[in-house]
Amino acid sequence: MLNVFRLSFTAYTIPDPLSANKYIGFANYVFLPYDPLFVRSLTVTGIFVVVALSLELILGFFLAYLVFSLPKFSYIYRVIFSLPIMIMPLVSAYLFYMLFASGTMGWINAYLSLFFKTQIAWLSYPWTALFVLIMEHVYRYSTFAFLIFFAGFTSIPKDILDASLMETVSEKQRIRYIYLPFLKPHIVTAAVLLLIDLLKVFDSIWIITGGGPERFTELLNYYIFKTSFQLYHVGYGSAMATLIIIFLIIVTILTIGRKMEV
Amino acid sequence: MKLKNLLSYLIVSLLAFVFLVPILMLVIMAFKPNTIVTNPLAFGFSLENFFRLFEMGFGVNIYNSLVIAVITVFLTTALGTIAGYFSSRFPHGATFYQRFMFTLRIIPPSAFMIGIFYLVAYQLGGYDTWWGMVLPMTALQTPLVFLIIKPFFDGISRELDEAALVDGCSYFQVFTKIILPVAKNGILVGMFFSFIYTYYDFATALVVIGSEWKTVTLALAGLKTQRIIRWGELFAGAFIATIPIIVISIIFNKYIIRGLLISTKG
Repeated sequence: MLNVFRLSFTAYTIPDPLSANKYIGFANYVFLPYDPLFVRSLTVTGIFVVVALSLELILGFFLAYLVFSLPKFSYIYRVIFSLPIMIMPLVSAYLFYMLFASGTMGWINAYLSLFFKTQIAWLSYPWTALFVLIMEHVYRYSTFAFLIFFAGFTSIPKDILDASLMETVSEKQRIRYIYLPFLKPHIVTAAVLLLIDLLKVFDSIWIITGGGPERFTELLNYYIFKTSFQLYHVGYGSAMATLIIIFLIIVTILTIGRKMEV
Repeated sequence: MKLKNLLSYLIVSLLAFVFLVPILMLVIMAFKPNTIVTNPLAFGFSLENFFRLFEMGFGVNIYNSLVIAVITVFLTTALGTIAGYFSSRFPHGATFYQRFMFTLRIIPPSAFMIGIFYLVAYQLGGYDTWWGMVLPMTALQTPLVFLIIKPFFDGISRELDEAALVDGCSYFQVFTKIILPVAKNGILVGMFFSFIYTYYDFATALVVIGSEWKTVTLALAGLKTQRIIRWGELFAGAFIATIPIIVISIIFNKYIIRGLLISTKG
């Protein structure tokens, strides 16, 4: 990690090993805001993170609420919903590629053309390609949010629940005044962990879109990888990596501090 | 009330089905004959994908992955348990240490990859060797094992240690004979996760590994090239790589979920 920090001040490119010792001051950082691809990658990553994070939290909460309110068999559903995070990310990426692939190869398109006579070229448009990436991540990690929330639900004291049943509290009020306040620390934890993982997304981009169309879905992690190891501007990639590391450290310090208060 | 219950069962079952669809897809495609594997509307059964996969040398890839994963698991568990035990028994400064570990855990791999590439592959000459992969994976997974295992050690009362000391055990004996057996579950969960993450890793392997030590993930990714995609072999390989872990996680679901949740508490 210190190496990354040091390299971020150099003009290191892989074909020329000696350049690792060529210090160029803050030039890598100064160049960042003027790199249109970096700015766009940052924006798209922002959109990706916000949409996926909110979808995962809502879906996870909804699932946990439903499974928790089941009187019987909730264990089976818990097992089922814990499976997606055990799938190899690479494999799940391939599966989603297969689901959304264009032509008659993709499962969704095949059934769309069978029943509705239409097809959508999911991976050919920037926004739908981003949507596929979001769905892949939501598939794996909304169940992760589910597991955290479910643990939260089971930690609510029984007598409070019983009291609320007795007092004819409506379901809406129960969610608003009992479940949500009790789950607040769990929601914060889940949000931080999902955020971390959303910034790590790499395998699915590599497999599903390859960064296309027109490099639109090159999210930060992938963009750093590409500049460093395919375009060989390691120094420049290190500058971006350093920025992300600083950003994440700030986020964790803030949230861990808040968790201490709760 | 009855109607409402029925409705929620219906919704949950539907959602459960949706979540199972990709896994079912995986199973269906792995056993499809190669001629119809890209046609979602046709179904069939054959084992030819698996035969062709192993003719391409997939066994070697599994062997590579397993060697790397097992060595990594061994190292991470050794380091993680010792670190976990001592920071749980000597809490002075342990919170800082724990936070530091948590921070290490969250940094995206691409940020590490440059450092890994420079240090391990270029300076130490570990490019395309097994230890070139084991070193960074150990560095990345030890914090995780530590975070999983430490709460288990916290749960063991300190009086147990003291009783053993009074009875004439050395410190080392206390650790190996008393503490380790009691914390067995936690250590197993930690091993499981460290195994999964090493075995599933793609990004680090992409940087460090060339052709000699190709892992399962690299081999799977290599089946998709610019011109041709060998879907049949690909999903057969994916099946072999994923299904054992899914089966294990169904059987030991309770422990694994607990480990997962503990590891998230930071």
